[in-house]
Formats: sequence, C-alpha cells, structure tokens
Amino acid sequence: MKAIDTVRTIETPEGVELNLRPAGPVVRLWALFVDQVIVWMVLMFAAFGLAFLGPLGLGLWFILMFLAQWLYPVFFEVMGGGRTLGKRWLGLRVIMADGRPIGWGPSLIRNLLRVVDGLPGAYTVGLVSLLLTRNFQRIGDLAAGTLVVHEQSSVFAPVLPEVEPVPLAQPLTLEEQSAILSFAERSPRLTSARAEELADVLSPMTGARGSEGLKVLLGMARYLWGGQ
Amino acid sequence: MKQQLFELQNHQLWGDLDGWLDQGTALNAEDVPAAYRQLCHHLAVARERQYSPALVERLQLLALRLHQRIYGEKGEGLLAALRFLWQGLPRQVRSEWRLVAMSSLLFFGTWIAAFLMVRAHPNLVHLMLSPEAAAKYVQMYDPKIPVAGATGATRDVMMFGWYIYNNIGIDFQIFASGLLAGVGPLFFLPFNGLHGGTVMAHLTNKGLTSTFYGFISGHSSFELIGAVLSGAGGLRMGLSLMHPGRRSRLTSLREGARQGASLLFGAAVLTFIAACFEGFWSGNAIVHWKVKVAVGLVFWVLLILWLLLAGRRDR
Repeated sequence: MKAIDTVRTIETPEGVELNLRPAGPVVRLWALFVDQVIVWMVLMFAAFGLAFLGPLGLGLWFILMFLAQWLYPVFFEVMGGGRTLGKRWLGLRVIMADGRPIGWGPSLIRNLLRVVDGLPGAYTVGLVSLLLTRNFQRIGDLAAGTLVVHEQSSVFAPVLPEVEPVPLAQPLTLEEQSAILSFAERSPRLTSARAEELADVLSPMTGARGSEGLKVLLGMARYLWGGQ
Repeated sequence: MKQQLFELQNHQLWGDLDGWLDQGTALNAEDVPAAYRQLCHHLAVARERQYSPALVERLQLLALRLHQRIYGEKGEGLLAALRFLWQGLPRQVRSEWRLVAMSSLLFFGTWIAAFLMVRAHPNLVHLMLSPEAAAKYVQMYDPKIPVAGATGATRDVMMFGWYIYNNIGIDFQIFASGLLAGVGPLFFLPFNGLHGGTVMAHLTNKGLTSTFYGFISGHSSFELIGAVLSGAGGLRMGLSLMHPGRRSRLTSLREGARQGASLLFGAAVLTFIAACFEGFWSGNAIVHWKVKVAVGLVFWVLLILWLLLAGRRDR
C-alpha cells in the first residue's frame, strides 16, 4: 500500500490481512446531512398528524423527538449492519476498529458522544479529531473503538477475453505479470481504440502495434492466467 | 500453480461460502469455519503469488464479509439485557462505589445544603431562582389550582412524553459531558442539586407540603438515583481518560466508556420508570398525599436495598 493511502489493515486470527477504507470528513458530513433531513422530515410530518390529537399527540411527539435525537442512529447502526439511512445512501458503514460488526454498547457510546463532538458548535471538535487521527475517528469513535469505512461493493469475477495464449517473450517480475493480468481483465470495459493505445505502450515486448499488439498482450495475459 | 488451475480447483468453495453468506444455504453451519480458514489460506496464497488484483480483491472481500459474520457479537438479546439490569447493574454500582458516592455527594450534598440554607434564610431563594421562576413554582403546586397531570389521561401522556424527552436527555448529556475530564458531571450535578434543594425548601417555606411532596415522592427515587448513576458513568469515562494507569490512554478510555455506558443504561431505564410514575401516578389527586409519600419512601428503600444486595450470589 502506498504511504498516502488511507487504508487500515487488520490482521485476523487466521493470519490473513484484510483491508478497510476509512471514510473522510466530507462524505461523513453528507451522510449526517441526509440523516438530519430524514429525521426532521419525519418529525415535521408527525407533527402535522399528531396535531389532531391535542395534548396526547404532543406527548407522543416528545417521545418521537427523544427517539429521533438519541436513538435513531443507534437503532439503525445495530439493526442495519452499521448503516443509518444517510450512510446507506453514501455507501458508508460503521464497524468496530478490528473489523467486527458494531453492537449496542459501542453504538450507544459513539452516538451519545456526539454531544462532545458537537462542541462548541457545528461539529468542530469532531472535525478536528477526524483530521488529527489516522483513521478519521471522531471522539465518539475513539471512545467506542469504532470506524466509519467505505462500503466495498462486491466485485464480479472478471472474464478474460478468449484469445490464443502467447508465451512470454522475456521473464517478468510478479508485479509486472499482475499488471498485465489486471489490464486484460479490464480490457472488455475499454473502447478498442483505448485498449490498443494502452497495449501500444508495450509494443517493444509484444512486437506489434494496434489490434495485433493488443491481441498478443491479451494472449500473454491468458498464458499467465493459465491457458495452454 | 497457474491462476486458472487455482480458480478451477477452488471456485466451488468460494461459491459455497458466498451462497452461505447470502442465503444460508450451500453449506452447513458447522462446515463454515473450516471452509473459512481454507479461504484465508487461498487469500494469502493468491497475494503471495501475485494473482490478478481482481481475484485477490474478490477473495479479500469474501474473507472480510465472513470475518464480520463469524466474529460478530451475537445480539445480547432482551433476556441478557434484563439480567444485566437486575444483577449486573447493582454489581457495577458496587464496584464503582467510590464514583457513585462522589456523584451522590455532588448531587444530594448540594441538594441538602441548599435545602437547609433556604429553610433557615428564606430570602436566599433568590440566589438560585429569579422572582418569576420562584412564583411559577409556587403557582404550580398551589392546591387551589389542579395539580400538574391531574386533568385527564391525554394530559398525562403529554407530560409523560415531555419527561422522557427532557429527563433522559439530561442523563445522556451529563454522561457525555463526563468525557471532558469529568467536568460535565462536576458542574451539572451540583447545579441540579442546588436547584432542586432550593425549590424544595422554597415550597416548604410557603407551606405547600401536601401538593409538592405528594407529587415528587413517587418518582423521586428513580429519577434522582438515575441522575446520580449517569453522573457516575460520566465521571468513570472522564477519570479513565485522565488517569489511565498502566494502560494506554485510548485503551483506558474505551474501557471506561464501556463501563460508564452500562451505568448510563441503568440510569436511563430508571429515569424511564420515573417518567412513567411522574406521568401517570404522581399527579393523581385521588390518593391522599401522605399515602403517596409513604409509597415514595418504600421505593427509596427498595431501590437502595436492590443496589446494595442484588446479584451478590450467582455469578
């Protein structure tokens, strides 16, 4: 991993490393904004409905407001796999810093401590904390041991283009082999002109240019992948 | 081994794990751990042999999802939460007795001090309350005006909602502000104590004992002990941050926050119970006020006995 990437690596008890991608302040603020809009819309509509019930409605509205203010994020984070509606919208997820899903206790802590993160106004403390910590954690995250990460969308299994395998003309390092494979997997999503242009970079190795060079390069990928 | 052969040999297993994650079919639960370890092995091998990034990414995502599923905390469930309330909370309170005592002193100490001072010198009430506020309290508990909550069931629900929103919200705030090196509880607890004691003494001075004590006694035990516990929870968190001992500050804070939050959970439930009583029992004008005071005192005794004795056996 590059030094400037914000990737957090966790090691599992099975001895493999898994990568998490912590989410930065801007996208989290958007998620917060979406959540707030949803909450206040619900509270407003509820207010219209409950207004017909007089004092009874007011009492129910107070309870609703309590739930919305304090427990809405807790409930959705625990029951929705770490995602409030806003986080779902923006593809974020709250998890424990060691990669496990979040439970009731940590979720309660991180959300109650919004009081501290909100000081002295407009989430200033939270923002400073986010910028000072390696994994973009606000005070509530630090105390609860949680992390907000980008959801990793499931990767489909790429299919290599069907071409005749071509043996490598010269030895390549593992990293170079991996780059060629990666290119071949990506090539179906490129226009043929762009794919050929990229393949031309390697024309000294493939010995051909244009569509012929692309074919040879894809063939090498096929060979590396295991085609005989 | 070429990547193709590797994929060919193992795609069945990956597909099975994927199917188990999505639908719970394809694999028996008892076979999953072994299959998962196999997958981790594959991931490590794929990385080491620099197979194509797409394959490595696919395997690492599958492993991550399985890691979360396998090591995820099982929801503690309602029963466990109730057991914690009944036995765990008193244990927690006793193990944190210093902080609970500190919190009680800050709250009840200032309460009693304010009460005694305002009883002795009635004019001191104006140190805490503006004349309008003092007059409002007197009016609230004037026996000639119906007691708060006594005007029908819908009004009861309204006050109930308000008590939940306001009182539990205050508990949460006291707790959270404890993170600021414990300064939050150190301020909020004495402030609320002075305020409560002053109001109590002022109304006693005005001779409104029957309405005031009749109203507050029923729920006072739950609400005030709830406030003390949320203060203790906040102090726990602040103290863990300030005084980590041999642990790293962050580890200590995490542990402190966890313990403090369980105190707060108890405090919130107590305050919720208080709101039920306050909304639907305290305001009723049918029961004689002396009976209500007696009931309130019984609750005090029972709550304190519970906190002192429950959960001592059966660990």
